[in-house]
Amino acid sequence: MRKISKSRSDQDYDDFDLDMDDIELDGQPLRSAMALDIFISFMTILAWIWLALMVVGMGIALYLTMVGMIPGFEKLADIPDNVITIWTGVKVIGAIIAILVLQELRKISKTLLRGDPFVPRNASRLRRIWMTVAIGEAIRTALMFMVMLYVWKLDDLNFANSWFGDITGLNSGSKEIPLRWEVWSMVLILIVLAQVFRQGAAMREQEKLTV
Amino acid sequence: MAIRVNLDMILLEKKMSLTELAERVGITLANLSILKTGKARAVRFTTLEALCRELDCQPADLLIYESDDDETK
Repeated sequence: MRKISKSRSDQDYDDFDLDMDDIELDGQPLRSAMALDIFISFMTILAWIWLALMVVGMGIALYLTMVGMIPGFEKLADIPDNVITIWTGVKVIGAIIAILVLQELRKISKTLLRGDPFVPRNASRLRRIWMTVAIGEAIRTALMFMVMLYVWKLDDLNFANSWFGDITGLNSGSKEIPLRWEVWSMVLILIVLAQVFRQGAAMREQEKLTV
Repeated sequence: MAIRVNLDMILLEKKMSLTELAERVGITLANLSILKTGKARAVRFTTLEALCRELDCQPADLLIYESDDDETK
């Protein structure tokens, strides 16, 4: 008894001696939850393949920087080595973030399958998701900014007709900081939703202990 | 919490098991043991009504107030 009133005053709903996830539920999982779970698992596999490819790409870039030209990669010769390395590094970070987010989504999906997603643990998972996306995007912006600075410094360097300029988006030529507003707006939406979810989970917690 | 649910004593008096009561009242055994062990935060009037009906008692027989000083004794 005393334990409960103590943890209640701490506002920490995860600290009950009674495990919220163990309480019998009358909730039924949605039929689409199963499809969603399979889709997330599939995306996780794709993300791992993507990460493997990007790590190989970064390995090649590092080899080009440190050792020298590999036959077949002559096309890359007119692009500064460190630009390629940083750019592949950005891709590796992107893949890692995708995997981290997908792992959290899978855990949330498991609670959906159990029929009761409104648990405090899911609230902290949502918080972890937006933090991962925000930190990853901040790192990406910093790295891409480094690439931009490098490109701006070299006047004779021209990406205008290069395939590399196309895929990196450096072709536009204008000097703008590589901020992606769509990602930051998504982070903002995720923050708001995570907060709403935290409140909802706390309410559900109260409801679970109502007999 | 200062409010205690006196379910144990009444069940003993009526010679009824917790499982039987759960079946009669129509709430899950898990929820009933939350009530019995004092972990419940709130009781619905419908639940209270069903408990009183099946146990043939008054709400006052089920709920006992103890001041916090007694608890620390």
